[in-house]
Amino acid sequence: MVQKQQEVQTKEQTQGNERALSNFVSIQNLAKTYPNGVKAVYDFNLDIQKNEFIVIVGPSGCGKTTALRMISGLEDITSGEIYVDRELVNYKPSKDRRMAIVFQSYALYPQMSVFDNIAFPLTINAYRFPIIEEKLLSFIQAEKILKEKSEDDLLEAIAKAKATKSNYIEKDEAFARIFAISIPAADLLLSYNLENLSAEERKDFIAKTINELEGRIAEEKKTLEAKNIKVDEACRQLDQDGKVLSEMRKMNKAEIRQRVFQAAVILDLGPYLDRLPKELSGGQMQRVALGRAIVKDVPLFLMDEPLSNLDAKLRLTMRSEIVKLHRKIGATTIYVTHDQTEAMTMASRIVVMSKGFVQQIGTPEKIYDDPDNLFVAKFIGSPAINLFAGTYEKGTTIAINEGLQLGVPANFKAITDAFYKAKLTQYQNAYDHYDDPHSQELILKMLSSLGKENPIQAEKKQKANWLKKLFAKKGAPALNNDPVKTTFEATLEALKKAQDGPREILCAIRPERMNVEIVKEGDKKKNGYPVTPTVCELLGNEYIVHFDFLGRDMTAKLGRKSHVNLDSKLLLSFDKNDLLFFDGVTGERIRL
Amino acid sequence: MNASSARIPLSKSQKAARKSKTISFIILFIVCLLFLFPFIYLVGTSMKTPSELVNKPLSIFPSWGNFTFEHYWLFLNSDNHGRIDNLPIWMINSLVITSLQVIITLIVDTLAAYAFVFFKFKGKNVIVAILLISMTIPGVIGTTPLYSLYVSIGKATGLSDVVLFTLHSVNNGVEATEYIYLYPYLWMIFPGVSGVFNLLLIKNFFESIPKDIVESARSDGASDLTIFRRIVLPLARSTILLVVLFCFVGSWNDLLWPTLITSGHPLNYTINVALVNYTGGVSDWSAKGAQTAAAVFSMLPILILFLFLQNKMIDGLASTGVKR
Amino acid sequence: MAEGTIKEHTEAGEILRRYGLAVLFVAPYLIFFVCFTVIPIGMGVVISFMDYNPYNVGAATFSGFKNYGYLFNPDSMVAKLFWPAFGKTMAFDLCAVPCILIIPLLLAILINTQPPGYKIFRAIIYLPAVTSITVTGIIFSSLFAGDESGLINALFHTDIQWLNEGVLRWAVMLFVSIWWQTGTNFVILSAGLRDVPKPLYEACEMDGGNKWTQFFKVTLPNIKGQINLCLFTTIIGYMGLYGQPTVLYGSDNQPNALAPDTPMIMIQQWLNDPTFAKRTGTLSAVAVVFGLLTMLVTLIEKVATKERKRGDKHERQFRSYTSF
Repeated sequence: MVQKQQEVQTKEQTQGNERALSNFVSIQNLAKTYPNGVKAVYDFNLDIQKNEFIVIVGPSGCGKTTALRMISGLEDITSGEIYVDRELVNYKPSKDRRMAIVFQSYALYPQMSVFDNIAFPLTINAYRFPIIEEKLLSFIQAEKILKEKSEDDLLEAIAKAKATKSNYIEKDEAFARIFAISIPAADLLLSYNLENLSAEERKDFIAKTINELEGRIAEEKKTLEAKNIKVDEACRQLDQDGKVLSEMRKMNKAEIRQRVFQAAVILDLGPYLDRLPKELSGGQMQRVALGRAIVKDVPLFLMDEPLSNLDAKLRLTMRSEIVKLHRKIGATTIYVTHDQTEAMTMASRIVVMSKGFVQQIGTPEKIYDDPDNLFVAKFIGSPAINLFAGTYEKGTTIAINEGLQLGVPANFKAITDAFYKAKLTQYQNAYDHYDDPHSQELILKMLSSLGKENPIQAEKKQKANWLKKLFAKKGAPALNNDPVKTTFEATLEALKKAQDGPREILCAIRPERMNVEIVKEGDKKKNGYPVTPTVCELLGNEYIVHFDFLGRDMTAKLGRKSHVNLDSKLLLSFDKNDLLFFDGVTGERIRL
Repeated sequence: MNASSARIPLSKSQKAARKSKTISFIILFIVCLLFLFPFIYLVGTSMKTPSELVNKPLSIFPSWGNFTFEHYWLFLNSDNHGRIDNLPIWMINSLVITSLQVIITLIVDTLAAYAFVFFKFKGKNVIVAILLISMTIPGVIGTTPLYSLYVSIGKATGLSDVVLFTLHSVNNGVEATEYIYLYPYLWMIFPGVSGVFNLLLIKNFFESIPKDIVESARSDGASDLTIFRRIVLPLARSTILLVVLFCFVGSWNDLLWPTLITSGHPLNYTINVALVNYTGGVSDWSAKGAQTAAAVFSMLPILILFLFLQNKMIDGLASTGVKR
Repeated sequence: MAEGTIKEHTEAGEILRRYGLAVLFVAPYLIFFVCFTVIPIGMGVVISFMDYNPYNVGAATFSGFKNYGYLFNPDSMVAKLFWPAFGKTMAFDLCAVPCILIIPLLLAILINTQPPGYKIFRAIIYLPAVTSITVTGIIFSSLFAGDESGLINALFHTDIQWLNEGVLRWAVMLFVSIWWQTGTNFVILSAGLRDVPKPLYEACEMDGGNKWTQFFKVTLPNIKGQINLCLFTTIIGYMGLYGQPTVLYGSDNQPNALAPDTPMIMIQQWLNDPTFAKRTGTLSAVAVVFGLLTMLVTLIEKVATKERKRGDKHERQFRSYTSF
């Protein structure tokens, strides 16, 4: 009863939902709260087209794995909807969701061989197959082969088929595979024992058989008509409207073998099919896990940090293997990792997460060049982006330490004014509706994008310490009664201050955009700020130079030929158009 | 209202998990009642007055106001029931034998395990292999010869006649002298030390200690004895405790061998052997009280050990299962 | 040059010293092992070929296979005592061993869901395992006493002689054995269950497996090691069955009756009876045969549960497929 109700509801819901209808996968307002109150995922929204390779990336504990597990059905959904191929899948058990998942630990069944591991999902599930009239098909195919193939071809095939006994394949299966026909057809052809006839007998026999078969075809067709069964050219049963009928049944051994071997070819697992997982290397195990996913023939692949357990070199190879596989199979993939390099190199689109919040969704180029907030800017890119703080009052310059000034465009004041006005309205509004959970989430999201700790967690920790301190000595620290409210108020204060007075602006610039030039004695005076290198890292074809600037450690890149070392004197300069500006209070990007 | 304090409804799989926990709880509860019942019966019966034992066999607990410790007193004093007043002696026998066996086993096994793991010497692998193989050979083959040795050596050296204590008692005017012999003790303590299982336990643990620690201590100039005493042993505390527990329980509950050895010398019985005389469904009404009281008394050391250390025992036993 | 020699000396001296120390560490244990395991087993085999009397060692003579002949001669006293006992023990084992494996497994699965208070349940289930068999015997021979003093009889107003000779007695022994020994296997198996990696269950779920599939394809294969361990120790323990029959007897089959229930009881009776001393050689032969039979059973168990060697069926099929 409940299930039927749910089915009706879901149909209605789906019909009315634009996003669900126009995207292959639509994840709407997904959230997860654990029974102990901890919220792991806040308001996750993502629409995926077919064939995309989505990478969800973030530091550990950011909720990416939880989100993936909710999509796969291994974790319960607290709120939100997931639509796959215009169907709501929230209430469906994992196996009905038409997804395959590759675990970080591969999760291969240790007692089964590689073949059995890959074949396992095929052996326990029923699949939809068209109902085929085998007899008719065998006659038609046999006749076709006898007509079209030369005697030599036939004899050669028969010889090959007979020879496969030593490889544990039945001869009819082999014969069927050679000519790409069905097994009953192969059986029929082999039953004629053509190889035992002499050359002339054979010719006559073949001609005679062709006629005989034509007769049998006609006969069979009549019988089917009498039984009121309609078939198409491939001998599949059709219903009244001409649609192909299908039934749910388990695959037979030959079909399973076919599928597994197909996967084995793609993944190059042929030589390992009889090995046990414990006899395999990390990369091989991973390919078996991929094989198990491929063989299910599902449109959506989920991968949970599959490369984390491999060593660095193997990781590089497998990275490109997975991308190549994705292109070949054409399955939409959602891939979770903590490694931003994997995200940048593999994804068609990246989802950056931190502390349960989605920070930004976009293509790798966009995420790199145009980050939405501090967290994304700092997380993506290796070496990390260079950050320094400045204060802006008015005019066209930002004052940074040591009397230096950065030039900014003329409309900077106007832009920042508008920015702070909008922010203040947004946060004030949220504060006025404090009891709405969305308001509180606003603050939590802001903290996450700044990379600061969740105050509720911090409070819990403080509480635990408070108890200890109480017993240790007098004068326990005061308890913060509602840390979220306090943070809210502090933020509003800071925003008001920023609106009226000097604003703290964080400036960021990518290391490759930092120009450093080595000055030698006697060089012409050039423009730039003198800095000395603290560390020079040689990466083979370039140097990563660390130096101190404005009290912070910054990095820049120099070519191999520069031969920079710790004694070099460097001049620092950069193009102000390469700067990214972030608001010091909320961490959000100020776009010019 | 704070977001974190809202009641979150249980999802489907959480409900399923709860259901299975409830079913498990009910079944386990019933099973545990069944498991505990014999003990409760034992303690209850031991505290019934003799009249209640006869009249009310059905009640598990003595009726209010009628429970008594007289059965316990009976064997703490000498009395007419000749068998019972030796109970304290038997208890002491068991305690002494088991404690000595545990101590000796501990010393000998830890030293040997240390040697197997941290020393290199010729034939080490051969010896370990022999130890492992010996575990598959049933000990029964050795029981007869061991007993024969016991008899022969005793006779030949005259050790079997050495008396440790002599007890004089007067029972209803009849004087009696009973002897406690030394020889059986030796043969109950020492053979148990040769068990391979405990040695393997300790050896396995020592193998899991990172070699770097020992090697850096060596390079600091520490002698092997020092390393053994101050580094390896403290690390192995939990495994040693485990071995102590297993050894204790095994030695305390051992029945066959002590029966063989002490046959004919009643005062040398361990408490376990002595209690065999109380078993059997023979209907001796008054004896039931004595039986059960003696049984409870004999269980006390193990029970105390168990109450305090059962967690460690269970965790330790669990870890002896096959390693991945 | 001189320096080199000095270095060599100290190095060689060091090795020698270490070697000596190693020997010192290992020696105590090895002495025990040799004295109490190796020598007795060796002697056991030797004595079985001799006419031996421990009270009169000097008169021992070599007698070849005569002792074994007695054992396999259906008319001899030895054979009439041993083989029925062996048969009874094997029949009992066939019933008992599966029970003592399956019931702990079921309990372990229940405990694995971790219902509230599971630690207490664990302790209660394990408690009987540390009880000695004599205490167990006292409890259960009292409960199952043949007359009205037994709780069971009183409860159901029956008059069944539970513990007298017959199948009923063995049934009671089965019941008692389960109570007594479920704990040990339970702990080992539940540890094994805990170690099954969770992602394996999830992968099975994603592949479409229901609870039963998960049990047979994930749970059972991954606790194979623990199951083997339990199987092995239980089989060996129950072939050497001694305690249960000794402590559970009714009014008509006191322990020293002439028909021993199990081979171990027979051995113990013979050893403790000086009139049998001159047949020690025969007894040794009995022990050797019994030991070999035990090893045979464990060998069968090991072979039956061994991992099958895998062929290369699939690899060859694959090669064929790709060649077309």
